[in-house]
Amino acid sequence: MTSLAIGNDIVDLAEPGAAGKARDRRFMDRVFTAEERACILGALSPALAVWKTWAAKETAYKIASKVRGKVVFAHRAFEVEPGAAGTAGGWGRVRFDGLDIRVRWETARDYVHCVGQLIQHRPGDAAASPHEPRPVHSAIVHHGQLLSGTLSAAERASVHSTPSARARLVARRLFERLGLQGVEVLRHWRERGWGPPVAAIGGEMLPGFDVSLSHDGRFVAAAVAGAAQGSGFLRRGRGDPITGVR
Amino acid sequence: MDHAAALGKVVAIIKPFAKNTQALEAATDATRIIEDLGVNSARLVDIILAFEDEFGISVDDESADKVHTVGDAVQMILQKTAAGG
Repeated sequence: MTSLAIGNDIVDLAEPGAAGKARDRRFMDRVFTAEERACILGALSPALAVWKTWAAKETAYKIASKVRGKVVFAHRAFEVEPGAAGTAGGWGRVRFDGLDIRVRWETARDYVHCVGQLIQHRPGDAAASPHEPRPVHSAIVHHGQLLSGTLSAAERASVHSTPSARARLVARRLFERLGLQGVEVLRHWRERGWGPPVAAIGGEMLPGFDVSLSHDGRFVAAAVAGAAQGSGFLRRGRGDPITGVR
Repeated sequence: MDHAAALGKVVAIIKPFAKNTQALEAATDATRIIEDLGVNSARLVDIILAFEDEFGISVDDESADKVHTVGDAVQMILQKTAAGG
């Protein structure tokens, strides 16, 4: 049972193909609902709104996969409702088949980052009772920034690229910020691919904590959350040296 | 269309979106599109749309979700073209 479920997604806005997507009719129709398309096209920056909405869907999909196991990623089924979105970020929610997921975005000139947390789910889902939002710690690291640390053999088993490895190191640093040393970020093989990342110490699952990894282009990102109650929703690491890009 | 012809077309379609061109040149059915070829998830949507255009097929979300490897794509395309799209 998942005691809490978080997700995150980063989009490098300089990646080839990222520009002009709001004008790509077929992409827009395939990925976004009519309401989402109207919201994107009516935004101050449709180019940014496309990727904020996309990142929210990806974030919610990662959470849904943790709670439900195998989920078909039908993008339009993850319905994004922007909240009080400002030009530099904002918050919103994503609804998917009985799941209610709160998301928060951080945007910059060259990236969009979304972090989300499961708030409500259906009875019978593999998740604990609905709970108040808990602090989620996240960080973004640019590819030019050095990250120290060595992954364990168990961690390396599911690493498929340098960014994939770096994202685990970012997550480890976030756990260290929570006072947890020696946390491994593991992914277990499912029927046809690697399952979601989980936190472990000494090969044992770390109950009450969750972790999410993401990378795109020049950026890697991670988010972690612990079971302890907190007063805020998403607490970012501003001023922390590992956040790197600001 | 046979398997080899479909594989060649699939590789050609993926090429503009793949970061790991070496892996693409050596692609087999087992090659993973995202992990091995460095295609990101948004570009995977573009690739699915390109499959629809190239092969005159319609790819629903459930079918698209099953495309993890080059071989998955080839198999889906062969099935859909044999069924008339």
